[in-house]
Amino acid sequence: MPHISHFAAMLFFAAAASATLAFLSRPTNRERCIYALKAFVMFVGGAILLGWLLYPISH
Amino acid sequence: MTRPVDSPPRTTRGSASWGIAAFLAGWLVPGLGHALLRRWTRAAVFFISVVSLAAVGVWLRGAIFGRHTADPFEWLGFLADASAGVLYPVARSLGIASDVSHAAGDYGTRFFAAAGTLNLLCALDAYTIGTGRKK
Repeated sequence: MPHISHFAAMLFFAAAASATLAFLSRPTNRERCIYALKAFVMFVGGAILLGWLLYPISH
Repeated sequence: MTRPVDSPPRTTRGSASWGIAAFLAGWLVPGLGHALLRRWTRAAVFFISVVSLAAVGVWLRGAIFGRHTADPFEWLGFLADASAGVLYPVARSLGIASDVSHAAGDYGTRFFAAAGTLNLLCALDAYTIGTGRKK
């Protein structure tokens, strides 16, 4: 069974999705970089925040 | 730098037929629609993103849904998976049994569906560029 950690899977998904969305929605390289970074931080930060918010339910 | 980095589109005004051709090409092979329109950077990024997501999805032994199902959620999964174009029959033909009893298999299912959904967005983007509505 292939193994990938939850965090690594999340980072990979966030990187691929942010890069694609940045190139879909922004016309210049500078805007794309800013958008991709923001989207990446929001993907990862949002998942970590949601994880902490849901933590009391599982314990 | 504020100017667009991609070279100008193949047609200056665009046309419906170019849009449809770009959409179909982009849907079949990720990034091909943008390559037809000489948007090389976008084509490369879309190809790498979509193919890597789909490849990791298959590697993690995610479920690739077939169209013969009575479950509406599996049908939605099929629509997402089939949006990956040629990657869908390739993934099905590999015959790798899915294993969603582990978290990794579940990630694989989502990764492949995300690849299909992103590919559909890219194909629609190629359509709007091809018709001249977007530069």
